[in-house]
Amino acid sequence: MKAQGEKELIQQVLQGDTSAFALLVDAHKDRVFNLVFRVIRQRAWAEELCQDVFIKVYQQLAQFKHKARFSTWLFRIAYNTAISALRKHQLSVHSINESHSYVEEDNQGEKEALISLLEKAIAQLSTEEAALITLCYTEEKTIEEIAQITGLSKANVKVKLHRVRVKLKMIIERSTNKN
Amino acid sequence: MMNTKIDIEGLLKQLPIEKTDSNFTAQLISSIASLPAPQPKQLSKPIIICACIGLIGLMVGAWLISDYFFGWTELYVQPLLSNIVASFKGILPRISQIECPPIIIEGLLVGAVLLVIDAVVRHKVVTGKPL
Repeated sequence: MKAQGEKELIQQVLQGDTSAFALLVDAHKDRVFNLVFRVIRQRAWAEELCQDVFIKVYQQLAQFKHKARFSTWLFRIAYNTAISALRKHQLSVHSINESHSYVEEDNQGEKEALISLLEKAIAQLSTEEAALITLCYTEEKTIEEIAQITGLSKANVKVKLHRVRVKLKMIIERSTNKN
Repeated sequence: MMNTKIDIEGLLKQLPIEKTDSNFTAQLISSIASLPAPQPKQLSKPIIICACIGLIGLMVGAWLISDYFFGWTELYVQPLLSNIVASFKGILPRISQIECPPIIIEGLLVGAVLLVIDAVVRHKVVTGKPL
């Protein structure tokens, strides 16, 4: 969605038009859900948190000053909500891994098998690392935007992304060598 | 299988996006319907009043401390007031008889500052507009 169109929709929401908000939600819900799911790793909980994220966004929409992109602001709320929920429940990341859409490697192409392995490898990352990877590669956010969303410095984001790539590569190579 | 060099960045870009339930938006909009329309956040009156009291305290404190060290009142304020008083001498001869101890001058000054701040705060709280 274009920034100008988003700005107009936000104005309509501020004037009490909830159907405009539905359009905003439709435009961003899957991307927000993807981020929350990568952090939380439980579909039902991620859906619930995603609802909370959009309710927060609705309530705080008047505070959005258009200094950053709407999606950056939205992802920051989503990231903070997911991290706070995890902290609140004090759950270990590894204890809540959910086997969701991982498909068996048999009878698959090499690429699909690698992506499946990659998803498993991402599930072994910390919440912050998983969020960084999602924001950088799935959402294609810039380093600056990722820094704004996660509250890390730009240099720190770069370093962490490099480390995560190395870590993922190691996990995948270990898995492929086992096979 | 998979002995070739792994292009991790290429793979990461191909990660599938997890999707929400089909009725996600409908559920959300039904829960939002009961909420009031988003309003800009406004500072509550108690916060404004507390902030003003704090500010007044700081100003008074700063004045008294700096006066203790530098003697502003004695150096500048007292002569200024004396001049003003002296200018009235011709008009109101009785004023010249008044001896003004420094503590009264300080009290008057602090009182005047407090009155001005109080007026500004009241105006802001009552009308919601700055002066």
